[in-house]
Amino acid sequence: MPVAMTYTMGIGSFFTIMLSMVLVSNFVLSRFLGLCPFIGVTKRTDSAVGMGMAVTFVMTLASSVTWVVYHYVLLPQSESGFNVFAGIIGSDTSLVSVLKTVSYILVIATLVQLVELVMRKTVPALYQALGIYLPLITTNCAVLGVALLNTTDTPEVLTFWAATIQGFFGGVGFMVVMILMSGVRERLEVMPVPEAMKGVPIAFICTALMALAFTGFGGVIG
Amino acid sequence: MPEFVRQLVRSRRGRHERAAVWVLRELVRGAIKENPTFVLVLGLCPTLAVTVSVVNGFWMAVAATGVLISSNVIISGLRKFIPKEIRIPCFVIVIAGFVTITEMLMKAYLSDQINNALGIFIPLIVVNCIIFGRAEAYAYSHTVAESLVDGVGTGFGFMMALMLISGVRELTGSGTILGLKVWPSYRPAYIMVMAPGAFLVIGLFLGMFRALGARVAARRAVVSYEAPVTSKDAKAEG
Amino acid sequence: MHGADGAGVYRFRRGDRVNYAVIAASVIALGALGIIFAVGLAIANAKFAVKSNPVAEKILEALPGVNCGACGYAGCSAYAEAVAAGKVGVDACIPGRSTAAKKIAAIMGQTAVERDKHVAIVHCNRTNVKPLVEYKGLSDCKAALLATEALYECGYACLGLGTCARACPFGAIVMSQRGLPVILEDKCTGCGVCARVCPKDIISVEKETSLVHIMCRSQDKGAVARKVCERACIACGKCAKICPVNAIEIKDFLARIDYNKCVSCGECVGECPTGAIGDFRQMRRRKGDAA
Repeated sequence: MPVAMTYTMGIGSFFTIMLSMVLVSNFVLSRFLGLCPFIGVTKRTDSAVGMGMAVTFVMTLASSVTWVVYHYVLLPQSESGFNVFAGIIGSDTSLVSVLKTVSYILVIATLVQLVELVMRKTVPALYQALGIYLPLITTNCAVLGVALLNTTDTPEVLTFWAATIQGFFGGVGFMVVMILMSGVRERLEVMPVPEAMKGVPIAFICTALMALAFTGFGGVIG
Repeated sequence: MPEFVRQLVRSRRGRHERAAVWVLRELVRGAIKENPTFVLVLGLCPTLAVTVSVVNGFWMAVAATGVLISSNVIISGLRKFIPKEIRIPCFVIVIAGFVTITEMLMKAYLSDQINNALGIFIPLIVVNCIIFGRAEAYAYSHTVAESLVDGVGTGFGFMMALMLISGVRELTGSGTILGLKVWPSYRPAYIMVMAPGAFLVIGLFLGMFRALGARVAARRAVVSYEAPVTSKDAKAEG
Repeated sequence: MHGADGAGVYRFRRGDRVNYAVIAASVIALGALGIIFAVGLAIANAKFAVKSNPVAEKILEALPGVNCGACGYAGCSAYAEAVAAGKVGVDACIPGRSTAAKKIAAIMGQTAVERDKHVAIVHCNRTNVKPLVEYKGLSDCKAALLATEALYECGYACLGLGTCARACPFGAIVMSQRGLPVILEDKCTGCGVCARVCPKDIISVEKETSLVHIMCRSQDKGAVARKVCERACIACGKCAKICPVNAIEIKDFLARIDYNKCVSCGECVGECPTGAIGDFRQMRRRKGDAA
């Protein structure tokens, strides 16, 4: 078993990941990922909460599965210690540049379909409420983005649990901002906004202010 | 075939002129009436993230347009063979394939600086709503030629949008255009090249485009409604 | 291109050859992933199958799907389930009207009854009424009432802040320049959401065949009402006297039409000294001619 799977994470790095994913480099306000559902689903708070929870769940699962795919299918055997195809391609060749995007998106599409099936059975009310937005999680930049971010190997190689937790808190950060935004937009609906700015434009201006506020968290991680 | 193409065919213009007019109309449509960023509000993630400078915006638009055109053509060519039930995974695979090709080309031929600036947003073209949306809404139900021109038009619109946004952000946020300092004594507002500036610029542009579009629509629309008659109104024979 | 993430620049050199092993491995990898995921999804689909009621699904397809709640259920799917279970009649869907009722009746094996079309009526014609306060706040009638008791000198008047327009699921209400809601009758389905939402109880849902309505809700004494609004009902009783079927009753200083008795003859409209009664005949007839 390679070292990466058995390494236990210190509590310090746990908090570091949590704070950096949720506050310092928030997925929506800092990294510009997940903007389409951010604008589309935040008209009402209950749909924002449901969407946030579904996305967090998918992001966590996607982080785990793509970590496994990256380390044991894509990376050459000489770097990760084990590659399923080492027999065919040798131990030095990397499949990363060829298969990374395609395999990740396959994994995510399957996971989203799975989540849809489970939700339809266990929480049908939430399933109905989210409607078309559930299959749209597949095209959510945040999900693919977190998978890619976990596996760039710079500045450091992430362990399995670090990747999973990073995915989870990325989703939490996404959900936090969605809830904040939906609260703001519900109030904006009855405000005297100029006609041209009603709806999406004024929502973006408010996002700008929120992003400005979140840059204040920049010094939290030393 | 679209109606105006039929009209062009009936006219006495030459075949090449007709084709050129058709392409030009698609370009204008993609750029203004159905601009993917400002009107359809799709594909915002790369738009805001890479428009820190005009060069980055340009290469992003080139990459996305390349993927858009290629995937439109292939999906349109294969539309008779893709069953309706599994069309979404098929689109995804085709688009992902082209994105991988684009990724490799960019890593090979563009400088490290640009590649690092664009970062993960090149592979994220896979989930760009523009490409996915055009494949689903247009390429799956139109011929190869129409899909090709639609891809060109939409890509052109995306390029215009990215150039606009990155132009504004680079000018106000770094005081440069294409790397050249415009005004030596200008102290740049760094906020514009950071996240808040991006959201501010897109919000203002969206509002501006909506205002321009709404004024055009208002001139055309006539809102009329009837009111019930009371004893104080002028008597009219019904 | 070796190295994590494929970083680093690759320059094509003469003599580079295609790495068939990579191609083979890619094809096998994707194929294997695809098969594993497809099988996994198929198993999950079977394991998490939802026992769907085919009758309820067919009924749901016949409904307009607006989830307005006029039927009394929490949404179209809730109503469809209830009909399939036999708990409620087939004609409770108001926006769906006779089209939906007929389809549902056919699915359930019953005959449907024709349902009258209803429309919403705004019973306020606030004209030149002075505002009592200067209100700067949320553009919402309910919110305004939390802040202050009355916005206008007439305490029963429509506040004109657009809560009904926002609530209409069909977009059938627009706010006029005077600040009164206008019901676009070709879009109105009579679902009644606006009537439920209006905090001043100014909107009511009546049959389309009722063509005369009192456009006032003021229960102020005649002199007071007349002073604050030009079109107020002053409860003079002329309409009640002229009505040939005795459909109008004056109660609490306000004329009220009993729609069960009213035959829409329109005699009361001309009698009213303040123009508080609205005659909808021309407007609906013109629509009928055009249709």
